[in-house]
Amino acid sequence: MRWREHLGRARIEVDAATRERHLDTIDRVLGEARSHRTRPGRILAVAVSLVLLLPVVAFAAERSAPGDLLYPVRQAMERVNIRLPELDSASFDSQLDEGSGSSGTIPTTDQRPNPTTTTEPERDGEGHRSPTTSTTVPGRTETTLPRPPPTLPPTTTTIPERPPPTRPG
Amino acid sequence: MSVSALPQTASSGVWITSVTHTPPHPLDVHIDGIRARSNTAFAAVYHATVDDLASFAFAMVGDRRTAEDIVQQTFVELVKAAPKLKGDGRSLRSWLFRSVRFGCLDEYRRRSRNREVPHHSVPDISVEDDPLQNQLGPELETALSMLGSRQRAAVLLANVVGLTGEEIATVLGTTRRAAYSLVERGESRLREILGDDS
Repeated sequence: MRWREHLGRARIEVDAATRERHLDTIDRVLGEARSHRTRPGRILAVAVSLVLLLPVVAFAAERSAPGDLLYPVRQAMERVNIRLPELDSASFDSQLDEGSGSSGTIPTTDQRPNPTTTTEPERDGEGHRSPTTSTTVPGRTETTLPRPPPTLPPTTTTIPERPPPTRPG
Repeated sequence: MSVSALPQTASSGVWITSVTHTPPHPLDVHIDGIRARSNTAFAAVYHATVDDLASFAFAMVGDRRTAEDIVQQTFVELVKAAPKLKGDGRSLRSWLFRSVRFGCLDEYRRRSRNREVPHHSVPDISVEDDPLQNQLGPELETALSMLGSRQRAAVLLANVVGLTGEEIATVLGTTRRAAYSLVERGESRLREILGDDS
């Protein structure tokens, strides 16, 4: 037998039963591949659905009554609405405390009185100025900054007593 | 279809445009269905290529059952790779043979790792057909084992499946010249071992 005849023996045909088995496997894998999305695609789909669904749920929850399915959502939303102003005022107070907490510091620009603003004097019925009113001159604001008195450490100097001079003799 | 412009004469300056038509491949009509993971397209491509793929795998690994399993695994991998598949029917056919070749190389590695007796020398008692049809002959198996992996694949693709030099080059990931060289050297080696029939 020559080499081409030998190689001709390597030629085979797949029988019908094997073909059927293979095609069943391929169909099953195809079905799995079609139904199975990639992970990033699924995450994106869930995120987009949530973004679209959230306003609808909030809108529906605002009109819900006790006993409704969405009433807990409405309660949660109201709790959030109440807490938001509390948080704002708390942070404002803390900022105030920081600004005026230490004595001797120059207040910030926001806390200084605006020198350009002139208080309108009160006038009586005839248009005369009230003697009690005062006008602040622009550019001449007097700011008294309370400073602590300088505390010097007490200095004690002890002078040693001289012995009385002894005269000879 | 490829278009190439060739100068007719240098003096006249007239250019002739020669148009060479590449004949359509039978798998071209299924390529869109394969990308879309259509059952019909997969079945059509399977029936059109399974005998060639199984023959190549059988000649590579020497066992029919293993060869059929490799072909099945190739189509399972095609399901995964289908949406990203590029090219036409020829590219698809080359992709299938390349995948079968990688499956055969995996089988070689598995055998060498397990240090088991080569599959072809163990009779497969589960096959009801003639056992001689399910095994390569020991003479051919010995001769093929004397070739390198790429040389063996090139000879089998050319003589068992009937691929062209360009198709063999695509399957092996090399140039057409190198593919011809692999086939010629492999055939001359087989002539030396098995006898010349020319």
